[in-house]
Order: sequence, then C-alpha cells, then structure tokens
Amino acid sequence: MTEEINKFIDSKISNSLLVKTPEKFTDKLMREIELSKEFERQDKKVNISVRYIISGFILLILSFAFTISYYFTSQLDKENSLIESEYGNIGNYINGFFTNLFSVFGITFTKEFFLYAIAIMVLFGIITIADKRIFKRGY
Amino acid sequence: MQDIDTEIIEKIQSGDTESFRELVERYKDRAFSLTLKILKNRYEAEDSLQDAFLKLYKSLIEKKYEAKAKFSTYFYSIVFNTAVDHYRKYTTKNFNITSIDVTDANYREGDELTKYFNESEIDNRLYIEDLNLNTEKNVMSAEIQKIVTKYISAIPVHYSVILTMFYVNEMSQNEISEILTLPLGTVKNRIFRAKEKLKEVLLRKYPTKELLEYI
Repeated sequence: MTEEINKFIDSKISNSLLVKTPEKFTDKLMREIELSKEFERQDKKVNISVRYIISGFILLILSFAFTISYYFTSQLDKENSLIESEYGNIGNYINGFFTNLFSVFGITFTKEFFLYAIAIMVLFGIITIADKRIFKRGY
Repeated sequence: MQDIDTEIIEKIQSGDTESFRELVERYKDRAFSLTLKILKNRYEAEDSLQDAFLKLYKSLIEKKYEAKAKFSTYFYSIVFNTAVDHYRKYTTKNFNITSIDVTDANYREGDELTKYFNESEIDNRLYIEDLNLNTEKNVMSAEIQKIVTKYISAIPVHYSVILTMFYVNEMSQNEISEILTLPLGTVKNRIFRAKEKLKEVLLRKYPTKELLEYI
C-alpha cells in the first residue's frame, strides 16, 4: 500500500520537475557550434601566420648577430694583419653578403644602430614574455 | 543508455558535428530543468545551458571525457557548475546549497518545505481549462498534479536541486553527493523529507483509501 503511494508520488514529482527547453534551442545551439568551429579555423590560420612572422624575425636576428660577429672579427683580422685562410675568405664573403643585404634596407653598422637594435630586441623579448605569461596567448 | 551515448560520442569525436544534435535532443529538457531550478529565470537558464553544451562539445572534441566514466554524471556536473557560475554573475551572490534558511524558534523538522506552500492558493478554476476532465478520476489527477507542482515550486532550492537531480536527471544519491560536495546522509535525508512532507500534504487532502482508488 505504502509502496504504491510512494511510486505514485515519485511519478508526480518527476512530472512536476521536468521543464521543456524553448522551441528553437537546438537549432540556436548548433549555429553557435558552427560559429565556434569557424572561429577556431580562423584562429589556426592566424596562429600559423604569427608562427611564420616569429620564425622570420628569429632568422633575421640570427643572421644579424652572425653578420656583426663577422664584421668585428674581420676588423680584428685586418688590424692584426693575419694571413687570410680559405675559411677567412668564406667568412669575408658571407660578411660582405649580409653587409650588402642590410645596406639594401638602409642599415649601416654604426654604434647607434647597434644600441637601437639591442633595445628593440630586449623590448621584443619583454613583450613576448608578457604576452605568454600575462595574457596567456601562448602561440 | 550509456551505450547509445558512447556511440554518439564516438561519432562526434570522429568529426560528425550533426551527431551532437542527437545528444542535445536527448539531454536538453532534463538539463534545462536543473538549470532553471538554480537560476529561476528562463532566459538566464537558456544562456547557461547553451554555455554548458558548448563546454561539453569542446571537451568531447578535445577528448577530455573518458568513456569509462558515466556520461550523464559528467554532463550534469558541467551543467550544474555552469549554472552556479551564471548565478554568481547574475545575482553577484554565491550559490549556497547547504544553507537552511529557517531561523524561527518554533521550527520543526521539515517546516521549511511548506513555508511558502499554501494549498488554499491553488486556483480550482484552472482545472476547467484542462482537457479530458470528463471523469472524476481525471479531475482528481489534474488536482493532485497541481498540488504537487505548487509544492515543488515552493520548496527551498537546496531541496529542489537535489530532487531534480534524483528524479529528472536520474542520478544516484552517491553521484548527487559527489557533485554537490554534500554528505551522502544529507542528500538521502533531503529526498526522504521532501517526499514525506508531500505525502503528508496529499494524505491530509485525500484519505489513503481514496488515493489508492485513484492510483
């Protein structure tokens, strides 16, 4: 008897608690999902572009450092009148190549230029670290 | 049920987004009932449920859900936590499932369940609008359902959320206790008390014999 009443009360409680969602709920949600997928695709494209830009920038910095080191080495070589080796010739060639390459962009290796370049690199480093740690972008 | 869910989830994870629609259709009403019990506002509840489903979709795609766990419990915990987050934003208050807001000196156990429930407020004229009320049994059915609905809407949220999880979301008392971080005894006690109080209300209006005849 009690069991029957309990079952009856259970079914009445279930009926009272169940609420229907608005009519177009599923369609609206599926549209949101499609949109979020599209945003994700766009984000991926942007991420790839940013990766290329960063890689290019790193390459530029490395070649810049390489050129500077050869520039100073060749200066020392000239001052000490060292015998030019095969290796030195290749070095001078690479040095000349990068010096010519940078001169195309109007860059000449003066003391001020080095200072500005170092300042820009430090600033770039700080921004990258802040971007990753504070804004958590993490490309 | 778990098998069907697993099958749908596998389809979603293999890139079939339309299968997610199937999952939404299976769970949306039961999840909406829980969200609405917490937020008590249809628009807020709809927003919150949409967020919950988006979170679910993301977690399925990223394979954060492991099939060895029960899917419904996993999903309802997302629904509950998202609704609580919305509640905080919406009311700038914390959602408190543990509080029992009865401070009256004459308080008796179970009193808070009928604090806002008044049988006399149930409008009998409403029954006339209902269909199929041509027999005495149908009239009684509609009347009982109205009383139960009124009672359920009047009980405090720390009872109604547990009742929804138990009766609508079909979660076990252990699962409810885990999601709400409440002792198992508290969960059992609230379900028992809510049901006993309702039984008391119904038996006060309809004698046991009459109620049994109706059943």
